[in-house]
Amino acid sequence: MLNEEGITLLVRADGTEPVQIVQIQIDGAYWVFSQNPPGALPRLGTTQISIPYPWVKDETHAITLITRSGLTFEHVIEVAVPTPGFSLTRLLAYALLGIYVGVVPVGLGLLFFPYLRTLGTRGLQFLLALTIGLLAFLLIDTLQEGLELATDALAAFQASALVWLAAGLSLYVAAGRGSASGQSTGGPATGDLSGVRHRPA
Amino acid sequence: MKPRKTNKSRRTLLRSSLLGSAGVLASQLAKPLAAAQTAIQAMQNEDAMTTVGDVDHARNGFDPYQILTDWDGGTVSTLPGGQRLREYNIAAVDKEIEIAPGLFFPAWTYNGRVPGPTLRATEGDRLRINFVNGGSHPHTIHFHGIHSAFMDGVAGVGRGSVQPGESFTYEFDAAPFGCHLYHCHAIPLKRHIHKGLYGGFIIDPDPAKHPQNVEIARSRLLGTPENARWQEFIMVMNGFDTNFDNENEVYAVNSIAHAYMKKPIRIERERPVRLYLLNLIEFDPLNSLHLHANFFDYYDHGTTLTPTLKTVDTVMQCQGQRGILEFSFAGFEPGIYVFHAHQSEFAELGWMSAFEVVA
Repeated sequence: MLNEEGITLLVRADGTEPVQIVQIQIDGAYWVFSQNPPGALPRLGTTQISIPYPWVKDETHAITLITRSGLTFEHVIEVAVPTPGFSLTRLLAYALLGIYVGVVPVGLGLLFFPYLRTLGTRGLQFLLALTIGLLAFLLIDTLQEGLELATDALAAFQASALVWLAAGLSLYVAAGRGSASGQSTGGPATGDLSGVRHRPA
Repeated sequence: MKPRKTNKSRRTLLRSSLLGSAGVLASQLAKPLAAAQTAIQAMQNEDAMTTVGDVDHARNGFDPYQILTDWDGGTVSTLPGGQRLREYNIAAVDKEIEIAPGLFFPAWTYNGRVPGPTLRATEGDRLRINFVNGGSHPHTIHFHGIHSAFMDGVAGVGRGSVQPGESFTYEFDAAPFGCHLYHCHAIPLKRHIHKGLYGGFIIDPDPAKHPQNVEIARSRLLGTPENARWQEFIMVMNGFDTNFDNENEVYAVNSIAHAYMKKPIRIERERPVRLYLLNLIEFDPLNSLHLHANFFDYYDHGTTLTPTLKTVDTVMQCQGQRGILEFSFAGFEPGIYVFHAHQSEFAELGWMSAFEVVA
């Protein structure tokens, strides 16, 4: 977290032994810091480290945490930008952002619905094929991103196993719901794609 | 027709709100950037660039303020031929030392301290150094000076490595006069040095042998009234690679990062200052000393009585190089005068020091 007070880090310990952070280097210089709560970090324990460092906007800063035995742990802030604080206007701004990213495109798509109805079966089949392709792409992309993020997480969390577990669970739940609603998971029969929703009897 | 109209109005609504709120959004997100930057400029914590806390010198068993001046003349006696004999006892000991507040380094030491004892003798003395290896690895003492091949203290040469539990006595005449050093020359060499096995070895000139420069020689000779005027300090520039990545995490003079910055070295303004400066750094090819607001004369290796560099404020030494700096604060305004490596990297990692000049 970067603000006018300097840099604040949330640190979590991954080792089996408790870790004591004794000194901090930032950009290759020892710097004063405060730790809250102080003391050694037990396994998976967290603490907040505040460094009153005059960071430079848009530049890179490297932070090295040094333990009692002289082991070093590096963290790089690739591009320094202030961390946004919490306020009502900011909340509204992000809500608007959410609407524009999540709701508006769907709305825009729905505007084309009357036109889609005029397309024949083949046209719709083509569009659905496109959609399925897009969904398959999203599936691969999401998995890849999830696994990438997982490599950044602490080893103790077994993050990549978590990704696969979550994927498996979602598939299970989706499939379960699909069959519970009484429909074949293969989708509705092609003859009925004229816009009228199938409903269970 | 009706539904079409609805569509159109929906579209215009969407379009106008999209443009409008995009502007609001952009301005909102940009606002804190400027604010944080101006605040950072105002944040002036001038003594923030340092290590946090204090080193427990008592637990270390050595104090960087005492190391500055605790010359070890050994046990002095006279040999049958009239030559003065100095005997020293040095033991290699494994010891964990605190090199920066809270930061412990598994050092190998001579007599439990880094740097080891500062041996001080006079040109022409007979020196007998009884070395006991109480450490966990083979060690030696290699002196920079003039001696026989057998006394060279190098692994595989002469007496060679002294195994743990073994001992050996190095013996030779003190020559030439100057500011020298000793260090372990067991292999791997780099590790044996950077773990802490080194120390200062000063040979004062014998005034009788320098009729051209008797006064200068006397001022260098410990124990003379001429020498008592001087404020002499030994400064061993060193560093510690705490995570064994062949780069130093801590730089210092006499081992303790920022020690002389947090508590400056007291200097009496009217008395001249002489620094015995040694570079025992590993991994970095060079080290340096830069004195603020003053200039000094420099005697490379200390083996001459006239300066090898006159009126400089920065001097550079390669690994193992050393020399003598002479300067005076006479007539200066009392206050804090900083000195440090002019490699800013070293200064920021602990090699930052200061004199407190008092009237």
